[in-house]
Amino acid sequence: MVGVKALVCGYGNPSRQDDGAGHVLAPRIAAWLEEKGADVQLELAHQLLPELSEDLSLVDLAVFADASVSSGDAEGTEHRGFAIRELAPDPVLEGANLHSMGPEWLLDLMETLGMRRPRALLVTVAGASFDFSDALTPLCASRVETAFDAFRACMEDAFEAR
Amino acid sequence: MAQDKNTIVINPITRIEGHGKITVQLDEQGQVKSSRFHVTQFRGFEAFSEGRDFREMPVITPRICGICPVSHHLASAKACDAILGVTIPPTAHKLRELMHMAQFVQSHALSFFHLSSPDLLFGFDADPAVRNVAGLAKDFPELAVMGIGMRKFGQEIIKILGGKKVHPWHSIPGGVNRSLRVDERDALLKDLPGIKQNLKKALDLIKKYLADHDSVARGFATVETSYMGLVRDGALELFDGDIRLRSPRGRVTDEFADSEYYKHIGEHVEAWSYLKFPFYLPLGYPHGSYRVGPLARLNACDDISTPEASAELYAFRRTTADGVVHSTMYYHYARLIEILYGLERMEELLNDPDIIGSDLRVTSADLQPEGVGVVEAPRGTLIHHYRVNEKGAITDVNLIVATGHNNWAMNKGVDMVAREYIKGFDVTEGVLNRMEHVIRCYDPCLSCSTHAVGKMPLALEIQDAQGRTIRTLKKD
Repeated sequence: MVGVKALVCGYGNPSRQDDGAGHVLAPRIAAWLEEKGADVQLELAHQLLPELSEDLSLVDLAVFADASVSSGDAEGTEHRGFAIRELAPDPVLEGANLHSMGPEWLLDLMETLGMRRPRALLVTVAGASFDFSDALTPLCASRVETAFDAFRACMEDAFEAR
Repeated sequence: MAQDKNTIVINPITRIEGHGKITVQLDEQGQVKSSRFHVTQFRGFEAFSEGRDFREMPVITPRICGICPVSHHLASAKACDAILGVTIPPTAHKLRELMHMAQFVQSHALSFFHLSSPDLLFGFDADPAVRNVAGLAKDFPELAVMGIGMRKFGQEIIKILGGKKVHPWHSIPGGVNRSLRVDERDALLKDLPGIKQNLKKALDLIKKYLADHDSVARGFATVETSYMGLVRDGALELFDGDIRLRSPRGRVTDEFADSEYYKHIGEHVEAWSYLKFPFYLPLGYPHGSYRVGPLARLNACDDISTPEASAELYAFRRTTADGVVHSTMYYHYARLIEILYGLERMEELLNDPDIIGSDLRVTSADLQPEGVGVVEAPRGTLIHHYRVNEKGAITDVNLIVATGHNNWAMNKGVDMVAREYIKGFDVTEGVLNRMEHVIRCYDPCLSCSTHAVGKMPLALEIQDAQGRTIRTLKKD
């Protein structure tokens, strides 16, 4: 991954227990990508906002890390409490305001504005509780570990395949 | 709740920062009897701060809001300086002001480019599916890119100084915890001219809009009020000045030290809203109601200290015969002039040798029993007032936030628009959007004003003559 420019963005509310999963996972992914020789920018945020598009337009790879209220079984990842998927632009805004903007919407905004768009992955980790706390539940913390291992394996496979 | 034909509810109001509700009550003939803008959530920062060490307040209070945490951070730090009884070093003062200007640029850019411009560019009656930031990107990409760039520029400065774009930690009681490096200063100075150039294009756009829609813009929710804002030697001041009130006819009514706000400002309470109604004590409530924020600040001051914003202020004032601008939609115009001032002031600060100084903090063990910190937040005057015991534990907190100052005027404006546009029970989405736009003009931050938990948008409800809800509009 030498020479690859990457942006890793963990988002969610770290004061609402497992909603902070992205804030725990993203630094680990960023550190691993850096070990592999990538030039990595790490962003931690409560929510995604349009201005992130400028940073995204400067990288080759974007990795978003977020918590999920679902079981995380979607998209072919079964019963492990996480999901990894490649993102495509999607203009549908979740809700009617900027507080609920997803990464697909952000990619669509970039496409609309004619910005260069990176390959983008989303890693979601299923939360077990979203109460007031700045620590993940043990279940979610273990899912973060599993998700990290799976992301690493997935990326290594992808680069070996090249 | 049972609904019938005489009640309109807008719930939630979208493209604002915060949660609230508009209720319109109709009479038997379907004519508007009254309208109210409610703030329906409660958080209670004032209560749960009690017992904390005052030194924690600049970290606790920014959590009130994710849009203007810098304003709370700075007002809080100033209140803590007063408890320490110290004057902070010039470098610390200028670094704080630099972060404050960055906050103005990014927050005002959000309000104009992302939240309000879709109404102006697409029209109030346009399809809501395109009348939003995505539609803006599609049909007006240059403007969308300008907004993104301006937001990013302001946020980068906040991140450089405070480590994070949202909820930064830079100011501490007695000063700041980080200096600015020469290379960081030089990079910011390099980006400034381009940002300013884009801002001028946006200024041209709003001036053209207001000229093209002159009668609507002048009449839209326009209310003649007093205006409040900080001034320094009469000039616009956003960070550290005296509080001035100017009357609707342009006379300076009062000017006093910010630490004496409580001698001049009272707070009225209504049972139907968690948002208080501040007023000028000598005139009582509601006669002493006034407005704050960009329009109010430009009315309250005599001049602006930076040349290009000063020239724009004079053009702004030439839009009325007596130089006092009451039109609510001119808040957008005033907001852009303030961005220009913020950019010019940043340039002055960045070119000041003190800005890269290393004398960052003073301290004291001699605690004063109370401290007041006042700044102009993007939305208006923000007041933090703390009382402490001899060990520095908080015993009492009073926060008066910008949205509260504008509460009476927002209610009045919503009522005016409802009476003008609602005739009978068939109310179009465009009419409801006009009522929402009244709120957007003020760019309120309802999470600040109520210290609310949860999602942000707002609701509109229409009630019949018996008070039964007949229609509710929700958008989240």
